[in-house]
Amino acid sequence: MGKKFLWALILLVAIAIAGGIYYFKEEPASAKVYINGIDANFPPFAYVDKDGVPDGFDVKSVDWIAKEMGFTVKHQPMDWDGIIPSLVAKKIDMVASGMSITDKRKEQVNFTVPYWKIAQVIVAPADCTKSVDELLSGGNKVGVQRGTTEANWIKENLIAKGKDFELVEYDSAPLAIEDILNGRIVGAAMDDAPAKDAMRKKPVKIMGTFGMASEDFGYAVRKEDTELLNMMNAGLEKLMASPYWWELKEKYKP
Amino acid sequence: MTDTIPILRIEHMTKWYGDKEVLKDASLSLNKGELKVLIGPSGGGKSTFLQCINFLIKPNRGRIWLDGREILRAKGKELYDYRQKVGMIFQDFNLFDHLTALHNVQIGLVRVKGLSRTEAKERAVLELDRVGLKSYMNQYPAELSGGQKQRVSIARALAMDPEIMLLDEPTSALDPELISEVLDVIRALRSNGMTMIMSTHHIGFASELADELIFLEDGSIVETGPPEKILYRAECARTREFCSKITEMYGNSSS
Amino acid sequence: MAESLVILYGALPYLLRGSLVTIAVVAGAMMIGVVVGISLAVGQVYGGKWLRRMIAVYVWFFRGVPLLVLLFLFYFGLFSLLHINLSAFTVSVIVLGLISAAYQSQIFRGAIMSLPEGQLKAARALGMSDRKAIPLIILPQALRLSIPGWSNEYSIVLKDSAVAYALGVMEMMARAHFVASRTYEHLPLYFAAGVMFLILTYLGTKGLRILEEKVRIPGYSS
Repeated sequence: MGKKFLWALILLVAIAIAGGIYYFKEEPASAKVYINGIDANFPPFAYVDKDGVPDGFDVKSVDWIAKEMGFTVKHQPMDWDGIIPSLVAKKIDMVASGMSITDKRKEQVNFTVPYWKIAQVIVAPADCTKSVDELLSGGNKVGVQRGTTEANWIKENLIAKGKDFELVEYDSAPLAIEDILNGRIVGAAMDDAPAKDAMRKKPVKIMGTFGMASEDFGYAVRKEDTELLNMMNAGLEKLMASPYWWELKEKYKP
Repeated sequence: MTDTIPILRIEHMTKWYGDKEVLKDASLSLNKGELKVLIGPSGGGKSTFLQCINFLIKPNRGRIWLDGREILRAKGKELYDYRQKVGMIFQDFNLFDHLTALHNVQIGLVRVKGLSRTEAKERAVLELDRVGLKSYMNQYPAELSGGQKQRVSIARALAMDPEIMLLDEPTSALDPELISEVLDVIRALRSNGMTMIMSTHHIGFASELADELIFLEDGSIVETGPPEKILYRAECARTREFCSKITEMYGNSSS
Repeated sequence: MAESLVILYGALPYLLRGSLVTIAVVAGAMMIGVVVGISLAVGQVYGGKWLRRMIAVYVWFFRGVPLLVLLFLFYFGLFSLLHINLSAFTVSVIVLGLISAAYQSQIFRGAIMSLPEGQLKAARALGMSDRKAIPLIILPQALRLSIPGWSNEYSIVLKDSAVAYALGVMEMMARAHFVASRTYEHLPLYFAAGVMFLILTYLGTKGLRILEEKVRIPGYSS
């Protein structure tokens, strides 16, 4: 009978689960370990490097602030769709991951002072000769990341007002870039920082803005977490006054 | 005087499904060492009757006494104890397909009677030897012939030290050439004084060994009596008709 | 092309660590699925009317509600409301396990019902309670018959496990996505992830086929 085999299988499974639980065990809630939820598909603000370690402009900023203000921070990659629910449900403590400050989000969370002004632009293939207006017409397909402010703005202000193009939603901006290169969409709307990141790596270019007002990025924290909010605000101000801020800008070129 | 108390007494046993009565008011009394044989057409209620006796089918009405004690609550421990004392042999053997012959016999001893594994194994080997299958003890049911399977199932039942055995057409599913090996085992049981109720179509075998034949038709006991009476001088016309037919088909030789 | 391969090669250790996460999620979910699934199947075959109804509702619920909805419901809803602080990994394992239990219960139920009725009767006739007969006689046979269906369920759970990223579990697919976002090499990375899923599927079903052969009852067909 296969009893030995069965036991070996059970043992293997037990090891796998134990390993998983150990690997993912919750950090002890003491000692001020804050968890920063990031969208790791948002270079250059947040991504994971070759070895799987979180990196990016926002990640390094928060690391600096944590060191300066005396707390420990852990960056947890999250699905963007679930990132605010996770914050509200205390699964994470903050979101420092290129999040635009909007009135709608302010109903659920608090934001720090703005640290980055971001414009929304249209990206198209490097050899594109059309204007933004031409791209956003004629039944063209245009990409955008789902759940972002630009996605909502385009729906409310362009599509709903009769502009003749089709919005295609993606999980991330880089996926939209991929489809531009595939020729499936003529262009994509996104923040200018990831657009510049894409330009450096792929044959695409920024065609210009499309009428959406520029936005500010801020770190989001839970409404009741005023202590953390104050700490992050103080930290941000210190950071922006320090030379490291310029180093970060130089390194990540947002 | 205790000898006159029947080992098993059944009164007014009735079973119905919906408005179909499959067993009607059957009563029976069995003394120690007796063999009573149920005969009758297929679907006449023989199997239902036997399975009602050890509550594999719950009768709707009826009372059962074993050793003069009535089985009042056919539930829980009382039921399990009772069933240990009433061994059952099925037409389709119903050996546990995932266990060897040895383990088929052993499992009840270990898990029901609470014997140690070694004790149980010793006893199981003994029982298999008694039915001539000691050398087959490590075979799985699918590797045995029908006759061998039925003998293992008899060994399995005997290992539980039953006071009575119920045999539900033990040879009906067997190829003709395998029938005698099973009948021989039953004959040996009979001569060792085992108390049994058996249903069968082997009228010759029945008439040779039975103390009493019970003719069951449409769920009712039509007639009861010693073999020579039922076979040759039955009072009821239907009994006579059935017996002449069955004698024609199976003959009255005893094997 | 060469550049893609370099990126792929560099990302491989990171992706392989992700495959361990995937294996842990799937193994955990399958174990919960087996234990809960067997209980559900036994309840559904041998239980009373109300138990059977409750199980039918369970199966209906977990088969009917989309996986992502269930993950969110348990992670942000149920466990948060109960103040049970479980990691995303644990919640994913539990939710995938409970869903798999619903499907597995139907595999086991079919297997139990395909056994001859006489098996249980014979066990009862020996004086066994159903409580003994089911684990000793019915389940060893039913589980053997369930292995092919189980192998099917394994490949489904394996693929479903990618959805666990919605809660932040860094399994294989999520990692492939991350690397692709950084490097803009989506196709090679998704291809690599697909190949790894195929390998895991192959290994799992192969292992189960070996198991099936090992526990096969001699002389027994079907």
